[in-house]
Amino acid sequence: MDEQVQEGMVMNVNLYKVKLKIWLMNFSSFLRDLMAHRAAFLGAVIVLICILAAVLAPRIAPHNPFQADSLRLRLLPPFWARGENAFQILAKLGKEKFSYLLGCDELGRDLLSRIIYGARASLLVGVLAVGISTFVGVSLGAIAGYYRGWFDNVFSRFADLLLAFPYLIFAIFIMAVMGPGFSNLIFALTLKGWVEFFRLVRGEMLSEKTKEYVDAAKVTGQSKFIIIFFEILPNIIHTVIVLATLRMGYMIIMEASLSFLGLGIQPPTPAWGSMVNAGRAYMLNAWWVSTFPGLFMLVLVLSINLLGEGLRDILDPRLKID
Amino acid sequence: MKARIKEKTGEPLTTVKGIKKYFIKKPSLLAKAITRQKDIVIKAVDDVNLEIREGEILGLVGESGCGKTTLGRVMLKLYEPTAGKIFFEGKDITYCNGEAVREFRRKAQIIFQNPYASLNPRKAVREIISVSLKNRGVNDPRQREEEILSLLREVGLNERHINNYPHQFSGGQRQRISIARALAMRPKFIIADEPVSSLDVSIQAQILDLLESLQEEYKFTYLFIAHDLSVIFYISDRVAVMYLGKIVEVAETVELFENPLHPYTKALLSAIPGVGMKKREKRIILKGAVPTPIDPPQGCRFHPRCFVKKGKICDLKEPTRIPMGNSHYVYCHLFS
Amino acid sequence: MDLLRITNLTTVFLTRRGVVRAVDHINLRIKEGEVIGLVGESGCGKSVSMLSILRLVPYPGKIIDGEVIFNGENLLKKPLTEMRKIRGKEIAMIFQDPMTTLNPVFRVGEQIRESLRIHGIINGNHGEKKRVFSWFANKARREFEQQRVMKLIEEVELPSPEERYHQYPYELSGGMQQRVLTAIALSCEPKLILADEPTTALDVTVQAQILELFNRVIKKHRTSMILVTHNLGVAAEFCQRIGVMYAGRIVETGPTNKVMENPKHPYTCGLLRSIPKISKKRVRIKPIPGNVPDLVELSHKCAFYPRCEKASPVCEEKEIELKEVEEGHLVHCALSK
Repeated sequence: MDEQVQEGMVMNVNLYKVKLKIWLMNFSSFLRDLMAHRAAFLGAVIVLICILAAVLAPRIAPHNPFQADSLRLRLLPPFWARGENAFQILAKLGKEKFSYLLGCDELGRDLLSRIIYGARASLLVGVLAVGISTFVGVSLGAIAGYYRGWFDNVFSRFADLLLAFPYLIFAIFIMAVMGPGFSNLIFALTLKGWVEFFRLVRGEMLSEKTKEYVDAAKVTGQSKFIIIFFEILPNIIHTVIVLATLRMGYMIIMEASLSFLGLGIQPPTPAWGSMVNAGRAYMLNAWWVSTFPGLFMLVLVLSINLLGEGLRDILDPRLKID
Repeated sequence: MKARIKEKTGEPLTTVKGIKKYFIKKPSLLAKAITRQKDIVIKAVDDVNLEIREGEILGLVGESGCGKTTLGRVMLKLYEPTAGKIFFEGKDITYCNGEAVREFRRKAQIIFQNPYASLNPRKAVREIISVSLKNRGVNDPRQREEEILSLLREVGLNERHINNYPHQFSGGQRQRISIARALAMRPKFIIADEPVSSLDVSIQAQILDLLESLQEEYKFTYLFIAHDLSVIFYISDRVAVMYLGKIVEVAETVELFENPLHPYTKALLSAIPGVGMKKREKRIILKGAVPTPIDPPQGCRFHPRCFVKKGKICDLKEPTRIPMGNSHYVYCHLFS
Repeated sequence: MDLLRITNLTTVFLTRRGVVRAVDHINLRIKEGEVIGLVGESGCGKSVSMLSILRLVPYPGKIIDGEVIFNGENLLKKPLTEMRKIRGKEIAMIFQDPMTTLNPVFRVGEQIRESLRIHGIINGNHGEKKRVFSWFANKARREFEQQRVMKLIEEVELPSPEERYHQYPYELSGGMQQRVLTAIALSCEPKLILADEPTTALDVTVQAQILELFNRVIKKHRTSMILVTHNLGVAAEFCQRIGVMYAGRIVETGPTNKVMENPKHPYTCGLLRSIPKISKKRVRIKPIPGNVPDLVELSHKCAFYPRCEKASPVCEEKEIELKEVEEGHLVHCALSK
């Protein structure tokens, strides 16, 4: 008996090894497809760099992003635009000629360090907002699409109602009511964010549930819950992944917009939107304070979008050819 | 040359009585109020009585819209009937729940027509068949693995393919996987819903051959749904012909093909393009198209196209089942 | 005189995986008023052959060899502008799925008229180059076209022709749509009709109706037809001669009764044995083992070699030629005499 159990356990382990191997094979073929798609690969690399930068921010940020080293560093130009004045100030402070690479903001804080830390905020907002929206939207959509009936009616109408408001106005309203802050921001974004995922999954579910493999699962005796989430959903998830990736860029922009308006992440926490807002007054003589955060945001969102579009190409047709 | 001699136990394995399945499409409240749109009722299956004996292969044949696929699904409890009763192994399973349904599901399986849609594209072969085995109660993963391998061998697939995904297989191979999945439950009753219609001729032959061998070995009861009469002729012991939601004739295979009674059956048989058929008399060409089950005609459903109408009675009254001896039943006023 | 003679036609598809020989040196002859069938399973190249005749092979396909002599001229060497005059007018095609072939946003009558208009058939004379673009001018021409279309609709036996003219394709059943396609094909009185699986998507009683319609139409107009199908029964009943295709090659061709009763190629034999037949005694079918080969990796002299029960070393020795085993009955097999 002991031997049998042991054999069984070995068998189990072997099975898991096989499953792991299969999963690795699938993943590596996915990576290969990703590398073949130039735009998506570029997007993926840049996003990866941003993530790394955000994670390793304390290590790689050259200066303190929260407090200026000296108020005399106010509005220091980026290294290629420095004049004699700037070099004198730096020399007096005992800093090198090319420190504070991208210049300093209106309070003397290093712009580059702030931008790197700002990436944290943006990415965190993007991931959390999209993640929660996806979870809520997909679950509700799957159930609504499968069962129809009152659940579908209620939530669809609710979703239609939410869709009537423009996203930004709605988010501003929520933030105005609840007050600024990180968690409130996430709440505001997800409150309307789930609707897209709900509709997408509901629509796909309506068409997938008529397919015969669903009937086959019913006939073998699977419970409805398992059918919805473990048979049908894996076939829908690729469109959800594409939407989630594309939405992430949008969430980042939303966060920036809200921070720009002063409703999002509050100073002194670096956030690209508020940095752009702060630099507004100095646009004419110290353009870099607003421009660089904006530029980095552009690059990040562009990369995310490239990645998302590429994912759409990679994930979808692969299921159809062969 | 092998004649099909069957020893039947005489016990019906599954029976349906008075089965109706209507699909009702209700217009929205607004449409009803403004345009007074009525409900659209599709009478897919309208009052069908059928009995399938244990160990036999019943062929169900008809053209598109006749309701054969719907009938199959109702018999497997994939649809709830609008009216009527389903009996399986003597028990009324029409509205049962819970454990009774699970019991039924273990004993009744289905093989679908479309080999591309009937397998979950996200699951490997191993997982597809594992599900069946788990639901049958095989909990030991090692035993499951062994069974999967033996099932694959049985349906003629290479064991190495156990880790592959459906899109890597051809149509015929996918049908084999579907068959393996159904087999894994060790059912008593299998509904084969046009299992070879989407396959190439030579692959059709392979799958038909496989289904026949499996039946010989395991003595399944089949409900074989098809629109190809030569396939039905080949594999069925008895044949039921459906038209527009109703059964029009039931008989043993050879009897039906040699001695068709209902005008529709005659037209159907005469329409088969012949390879190896003896020279027929003039072919019967029906007028008009196959009608839809929305708003079927009054009386006998076939009367608008019938070429040997008896008279007014065909327009007004629905024909009842008339036994013609030798297990041959026909639903036609010509014989009442 | 042959109406159409195809010699050594070869069409390949240049794909990333390799060169797919969809049509491999096929030979076909058809006389006026004759109906020949092209039988084979999916992937054997029969549809591509039809498209090759009309030079409609989609990218990445290319016709790389052979001649298609129609009415004395080689179609493969004609400029495309002249080909357009032939397509629809001299050689018409009927496709498999009428639902997707008919344009869903145009009425049925208009679609039949389109054919007439494109080929500039005015007042019964054919092939006038003069094209009248202005819609308002030439009222007589429009009337003529309408009359002609009504006549065609009647000829294909659509019930209530006046209503049909103004209906959209989705309002018609499959059989009726196929009749419309037939009407379009017949509109310019072609000499040859290529029918690519015209009845596969239809119910069997409707199939009988359509085949009967074809019969009548062909007899009346003395049109020739190449009927492509995978249904041997249809081919047996309808065609005077048939060609059996496998993996891009025509492996056997000859008068229908001779090929069906006395097949010489192992594939044809295998095919006939694997089809269930309705007869007094039930014969157990014998399937052909294996699968249709991947057209990229054809490495044998005979594509059927891996599945053939009569395979022998002779089959691999040299190039196989088409041999005439009896009059008009040709076989592409190393083992035939």
